[in-house]
Amino acid sequence: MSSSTALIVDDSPEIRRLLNRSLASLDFTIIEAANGEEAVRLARECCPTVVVLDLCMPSMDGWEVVRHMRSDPALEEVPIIVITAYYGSTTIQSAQRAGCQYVVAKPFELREIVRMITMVTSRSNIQLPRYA
Amino acid sequence: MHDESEPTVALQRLLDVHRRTISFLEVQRAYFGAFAPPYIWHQFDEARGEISRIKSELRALGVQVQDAPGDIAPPNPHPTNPAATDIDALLLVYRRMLIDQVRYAPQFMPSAWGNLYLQLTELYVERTFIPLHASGSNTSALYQEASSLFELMSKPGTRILLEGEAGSGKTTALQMLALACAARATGEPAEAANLVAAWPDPIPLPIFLKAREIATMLVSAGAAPDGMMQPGPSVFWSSIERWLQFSDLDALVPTIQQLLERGECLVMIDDLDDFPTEPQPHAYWIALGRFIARYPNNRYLLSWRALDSNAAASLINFVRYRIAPFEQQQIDEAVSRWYTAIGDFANLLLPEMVAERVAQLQGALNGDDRLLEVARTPRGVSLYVLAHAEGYSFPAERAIVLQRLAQGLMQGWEHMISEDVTSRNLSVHTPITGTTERWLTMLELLALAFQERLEPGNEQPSPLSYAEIKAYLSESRSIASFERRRGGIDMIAELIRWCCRCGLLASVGTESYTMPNRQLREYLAARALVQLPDFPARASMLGSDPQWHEALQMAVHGAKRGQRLSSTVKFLNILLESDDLKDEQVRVHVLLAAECLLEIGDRGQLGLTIEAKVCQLLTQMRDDAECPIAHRIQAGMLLGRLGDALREPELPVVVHVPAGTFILGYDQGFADETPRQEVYVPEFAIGMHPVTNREYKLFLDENRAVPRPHYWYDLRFNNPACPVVGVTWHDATNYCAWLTRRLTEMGKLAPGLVVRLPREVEWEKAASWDAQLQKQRRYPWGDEWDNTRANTADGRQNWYTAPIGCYPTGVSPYGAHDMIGNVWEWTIDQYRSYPNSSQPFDEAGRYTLRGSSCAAQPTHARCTYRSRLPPTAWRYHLGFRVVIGPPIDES
Repeated sequence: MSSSTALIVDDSPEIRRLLNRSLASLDFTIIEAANGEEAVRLARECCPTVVVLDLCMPSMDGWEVVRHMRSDPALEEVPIIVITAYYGSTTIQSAQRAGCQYVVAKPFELREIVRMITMVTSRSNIQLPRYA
Repeated sequence: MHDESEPTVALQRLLDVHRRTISFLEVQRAYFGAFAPPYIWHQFDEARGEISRIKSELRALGVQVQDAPGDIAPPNPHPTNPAATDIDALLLVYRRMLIDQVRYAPQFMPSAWGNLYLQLTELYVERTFIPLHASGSNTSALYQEASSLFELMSKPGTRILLEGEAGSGKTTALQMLALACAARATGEPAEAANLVAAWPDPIPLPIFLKAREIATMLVSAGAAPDGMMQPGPSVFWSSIERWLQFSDLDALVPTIQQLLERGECLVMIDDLDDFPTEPQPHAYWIALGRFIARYPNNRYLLSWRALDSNAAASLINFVRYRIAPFEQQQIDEAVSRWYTAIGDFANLLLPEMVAERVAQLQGALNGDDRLLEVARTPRGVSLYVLAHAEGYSFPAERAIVLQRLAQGLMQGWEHMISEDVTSRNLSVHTPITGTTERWLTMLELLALAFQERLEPGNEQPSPLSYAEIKAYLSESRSIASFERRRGGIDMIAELIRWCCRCGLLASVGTESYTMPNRQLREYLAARALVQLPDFPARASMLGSDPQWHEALQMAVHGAKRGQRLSSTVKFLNILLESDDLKDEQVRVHVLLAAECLLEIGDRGQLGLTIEAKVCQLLTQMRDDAECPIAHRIQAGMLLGRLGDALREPELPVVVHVPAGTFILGYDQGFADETPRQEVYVPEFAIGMHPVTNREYKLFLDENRAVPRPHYWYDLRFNNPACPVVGVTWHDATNYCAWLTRRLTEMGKLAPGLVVRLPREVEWEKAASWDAQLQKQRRYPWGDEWDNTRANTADGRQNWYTAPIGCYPTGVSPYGAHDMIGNVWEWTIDQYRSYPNSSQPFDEAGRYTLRGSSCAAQPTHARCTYRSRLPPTAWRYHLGFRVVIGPPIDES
């Protein structure tokens, strides 16, 4: 069993399956969450190495997951890769202010996500969020 | 007879002038023989170019023009190539000379130790360059590819026009590039050579010129273009030559020309805005454009402040870049490099001192927006480091940096009016003289006038017209005496032009100006303000407007330095006349009075009455739940900085929790909060507040070997009244052990008791148990979330810690403050599931945290929520509080 865990959060089972399959090559233990509440619960229990997070979800959305994770010391430094269909400078800035440095536009290339996960998990420390 | 105005006549005359020039040059060439200096060939080129242009214009107008023998260049015009071996030796000498010229960092201000001659390689911080688009289309400038200068210049033929305001580090960047290229060939300094290690061969020969000096060198060589002739491309060649002559390297002239022809040079010209504007505004720019067209294949790097946007039109195929302001990381690096270099220079500071001083200054610069704004440029950082190394502390003494900044700008003006620009040594500066201060005094009234033109909600003052500015400046006698001495030159016009050049003034529209630099404006206005005979009354009137607060604080600071304490006392007394804290204006006045007290520093001379009154009003304000939270926090911060004599820091303030059962846990929360159950807890006392920076400082003072916590020097977190943050679990337990010893020695601790971190059950009982109603509360104050009762991200948004005691309505039934929000708190327990849990777990080696923090969301800011970290971890929102109780049996 590998020591790295990736938490994939998306309300679409197809995207979760797609990501799950493409991350298999990276020797990660994959856990999946279909909504924000489940994501927070699983993140608290497993302290994942990296989170791939869809921003747009019903009920508790991605932003709330980010805010929760960034204010809990146990999860504060877990890198979060945000996937969004609303890719633009506003989203990027908001994401960076909230403490996610990595934003990927939807639809995405699987290679891009894999490359990003490899990059963020090889870095030890992420920066603290910057507040406007 | 032809009419004089007919264009053909003027062209014919010009043709004659250029042909006479050719004849004159032929005589010169004959005189020099084979050793004719290259500028002659350049002037031949120029004149022949003009002749050919005029001839084609005349022919286009239908005029018959005869060819003259000198119109076309004879074959083989260039001098012979001297022996290659000598040339290599000479080039080595040239490169070493250049290295000597550029190896020291340009010092903006001499320090208390004189010129420090700090090596550029020790100080250089890699900069970012942001491309600018000539079209002016502002397509997401944020995400454009920014890059380093060494990458940008690596390709032969690159042409870059680099833009940045005074002090932004343009000259340093150019110097570093020159140093790197020269060092790559000579082998040292190796740090510099490595910067261009990836460049393809041949490494270009650097040529470093300053626009201001080009004209000066031409004057001293008697080669300046006069009123008749426009400067041509040869002026650049002449100044290169002149520069070589200074160093006895005349013999290198033909080689450099060949290298220029072959495109193997890197030509750098610094501060193009300094080109003479006579005989025509852009003549030198046009000449430079033609020089570049003559030698198109070289690398060119030109720097300017972008003052005259039309000037750059003659520079074809240049990519424009802007030097990006320092990011926080770059400021930290610059501070560290400068401090280390100063420390090393003649052993001014001990190495162990340097590390602490660096941390202090980095913390100050990152934690105060006013300081950060100035520190965004290398000049700002260097001023801070020098002043800090001299013993000034920030932000208290921030005025000294503004004073030096302003003095430096006016020193440039002094240089200009005294025309003392002949020195090529880049790091020699003359000391600040009385006259520099006199120029600043002249600008004070103008700054005050601008400051008075501020309108609410607008950061920029409304502009003043040229005539109005002139009226303010004419009040000074200095100007009049200068004008007399310099034969009636309009010094005011010159001064205004200079102020625009150095950024003190900015032109808005035609003939009207504003003073854009807020901090310099406030500093100068403060100087004027404190001189006014009615300072106390005037200042107290302005005190209601927050836009004046910074200027007023600096005025008080200035008054202290100028021994004008009595007027400050009057001012403070007027501010404190009313003590009705329900009135917002009164609160604003009290807060301002406290800020001013801090500016005075040593307040012994003021007597204790004012300070005691201010502290009493601030305490009332902090403890008053009706008062807006921003004012409560500000009051708490100021109390912390003023020393808050009302608190006795030696003993922890605790609340007593009697023995008994309580309800632990929450079944609707996360799995680790379950199951909800009744637990018996023996008697204990818990800290009323988390341990503050002031309390932790006592521990550090008595234990010099203990490392400072992270953020200890960060102004955002290190207020004495704020909880200590950035501490590990080990730090927290060490503090407790120390306090146990200390209280035992003082005889204040009953036998059998120790000071330690709380157990989870103790913490939760103190936070949530209402003993009277025998009921558990979800939050210390009740069961409903209320963001005004705790310092969380939900209420304050800025994610910073708050001084203790600012949330009086968030107190738990036992009287403990800040149990929710502000800082997470370490407990002594490892993270395990509660007894009888349906999902048992044991994360031994991680310790539980309680209480949530200033970053918390309402979704989890409840008394039962648990987080955890390893004992070596630290966070900006993680502190601890102590418990006095029986020791815990480790087994």
